[in-house]
Amino acid sequence: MTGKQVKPKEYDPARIRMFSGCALLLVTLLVCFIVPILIHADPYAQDVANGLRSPYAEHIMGTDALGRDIFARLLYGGQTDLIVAMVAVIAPLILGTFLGASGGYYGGWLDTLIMRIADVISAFPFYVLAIALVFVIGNGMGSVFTAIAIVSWVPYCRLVRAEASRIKNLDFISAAKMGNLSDLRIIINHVMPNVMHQALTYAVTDASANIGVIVTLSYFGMGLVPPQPDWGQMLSEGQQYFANGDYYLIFFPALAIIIASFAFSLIGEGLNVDKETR
Amino acid sequence: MNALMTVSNLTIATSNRKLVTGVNLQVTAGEATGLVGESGSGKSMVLRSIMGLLPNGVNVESGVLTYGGKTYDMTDTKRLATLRGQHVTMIFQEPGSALNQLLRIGQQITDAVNSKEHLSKEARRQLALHLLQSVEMRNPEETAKSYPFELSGGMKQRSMIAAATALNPGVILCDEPTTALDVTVQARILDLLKTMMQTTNLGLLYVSHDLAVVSQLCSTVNVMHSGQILEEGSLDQIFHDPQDDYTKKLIAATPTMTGPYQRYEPISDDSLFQMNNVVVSFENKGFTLFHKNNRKTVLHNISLSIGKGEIVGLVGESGSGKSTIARVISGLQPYDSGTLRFDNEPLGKHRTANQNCAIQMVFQDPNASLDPTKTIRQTLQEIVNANHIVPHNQSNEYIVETLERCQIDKELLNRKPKQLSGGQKQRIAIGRALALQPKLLIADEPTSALDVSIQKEILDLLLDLHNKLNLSILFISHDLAVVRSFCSRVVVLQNGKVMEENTTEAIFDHPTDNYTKELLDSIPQKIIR
Repeated sequence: MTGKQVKPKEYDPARIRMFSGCALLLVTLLVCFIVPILIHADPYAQDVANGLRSPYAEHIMGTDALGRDIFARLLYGGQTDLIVAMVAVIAPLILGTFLGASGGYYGGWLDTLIMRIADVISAFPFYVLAIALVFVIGNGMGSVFTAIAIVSWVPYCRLVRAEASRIKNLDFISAAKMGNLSDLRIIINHVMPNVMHQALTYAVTDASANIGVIVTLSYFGMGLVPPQPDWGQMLSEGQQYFANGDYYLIFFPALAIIIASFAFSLIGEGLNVDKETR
Repeated sequence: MNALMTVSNLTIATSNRKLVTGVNLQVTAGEATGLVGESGSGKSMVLRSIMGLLPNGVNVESGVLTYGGKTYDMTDTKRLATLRGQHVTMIFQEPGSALNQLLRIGQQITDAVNSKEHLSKEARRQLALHLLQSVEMRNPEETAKSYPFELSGGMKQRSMIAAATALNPGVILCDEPTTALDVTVQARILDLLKTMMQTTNLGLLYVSHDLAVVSQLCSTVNVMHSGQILEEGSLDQIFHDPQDDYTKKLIAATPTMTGPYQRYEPISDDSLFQMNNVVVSFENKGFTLFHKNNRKTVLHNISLSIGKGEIVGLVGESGSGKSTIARVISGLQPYDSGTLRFDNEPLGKHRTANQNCAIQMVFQDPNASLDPTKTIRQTLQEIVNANHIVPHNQSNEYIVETLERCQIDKELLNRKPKQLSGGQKQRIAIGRALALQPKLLIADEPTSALDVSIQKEILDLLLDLHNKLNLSILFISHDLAVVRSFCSRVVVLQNGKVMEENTTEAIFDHPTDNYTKELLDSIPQKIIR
């Protein structure tokens, strides 16, 4: 068995994924935020006479039933969807990591309690619970954030708990206890930073799932309030004309969703592989 | 004295660095050749290159091996592989991970033979029994049917040796085969290897970091350092007349069983710490469908006292309960019954912050004892500030001062643990304990993960701190030679019971307990200077 030559870093598949994911996401963000300024696009301007036009020079992606420019709506919708996807990751990340770290660190009844609550939440189908929550709390950006936070901390908690229960037995935790540090401080300062990398990797993948959640919620008419542009609403509005052959109402938002999810997935996978091979 | 196997001019390299350069070795039938060096010296790489088992990215650049009158180019791993198993075999440091956990021992050790000539079931069983008998296994029938996880470390290593000798090889490469074992087990494995060497005319190439072990077994010794053999000679020559400076340093750093004892003059009549009749038991969490949940007692009525400014050694093999005692004293482990007293005050289950600071601990594994996500400054600053040792604005100078005492340069303060060596990490761990101004320092095997020259430095540091600060130390170790040179009183522990307790002098010169005697007899102690 001859030792293989170690491949140079730049051909590392994990890095390629990571790099292309970041590049794709960056391009998507730039397009969504810069282009509308450059072309002075208005997502709200209606021109009913000009409704349901397939792509032509003036409206390169066509217009919707109210004659609004699909391209402009797509860009503005991207602004909200991408930001919501990324921001919505933060609350469950922190909540799940903290609960998981506490459960793993203390063990005993607290651990059992946290994990049983997690079991209850994961017993419901994800979307059913999220939709029910938005229905109860009411429409709007805030309730989308809340629903996502309540539903999706569970995987973070599970991920982190196992690692935390290993770390609590390491000597540096014993040393911290002997140094009179409080449990809360040990959890936040010493346990959480050491389990964070797993949660962060998952968070990136979760961001791509969040796009799906937001889009799904607004597809059902929950979450973001019209006329604020959003990819899910565009899909929902577009589908009634789909049978007439007005493909562009659905095709472009769907493509945007795929591209954005793909970018997040690439980053997540790159992070994950990078961690495994290290 | 003709050579059974020779390796000449062996060079091993990665794509950008040479790991081993120009190594020449010779193994003689019926004798053991020692290869001694510290971690990172390349000694394991030499063994692996002979087996053709180098990790990916590491290659043999040049080297010639002769065995049985034939010459092998060591870059030709395919041809080298024909030696493997039949002529040259290897045993490893961790017998646990070297065996397949899912196969019975009998099957595993006969696999090599079975792959050459298909054996009948009965023949295979007979062969397994024969092999296990040859490694002096007490109960070969039963062992052959066992899985590795049912065996002790020593039995696993015996099984590995049985597997390695199944095809009657000429040479066995030994990669620290006794390092992970207790000292009494180590002595028995070394005896076994010695007997096998004599009866079957085996040649051994024995790699170890432990000069004392090598001195027990080997007739020739090679000293290796940063990829080169610095010195080669007979055992006598290396130990009594070393030529190379590094060899001299290595021998000087190895603790010996001669030399003066540490003595302790009590400063006052009160002892600093007392432990009376402490009992600790754990719940046996296992598969308890039909059995009652039972508790396993790990400490039976332990009583122990440590004087002010005294160094007490706590000696025992793995599972004897020495780490549990450390955790009870440090307050990390709840106990069932018994009392603790510290500084003339009872030590309750809930300690005051001052009591916590007064008892500090240094741990075995330097890699686990510092938070990998924090810089050294952050780690120390946090506990210094949390305990208000000095006013906040002076904490930085205080930390620098404390670490300087432990010979840690202040430039290392902004580093994270992964940028530090094992010895540095251990010094910092000592510094962290000192920063809280303890009266009692518990050192739980603080040097057993370190190289021998660094062990010496750490022990010297502890001794220096003990002298300057009048620090009491409870020194826990499995290494009797270290304890002998370091402690003034020794407590011998076996299976959670104190077997003997006396001054170091009395324990080592006139042991009364049988277990203590067995421990002392097991120490590899051929080095006499």
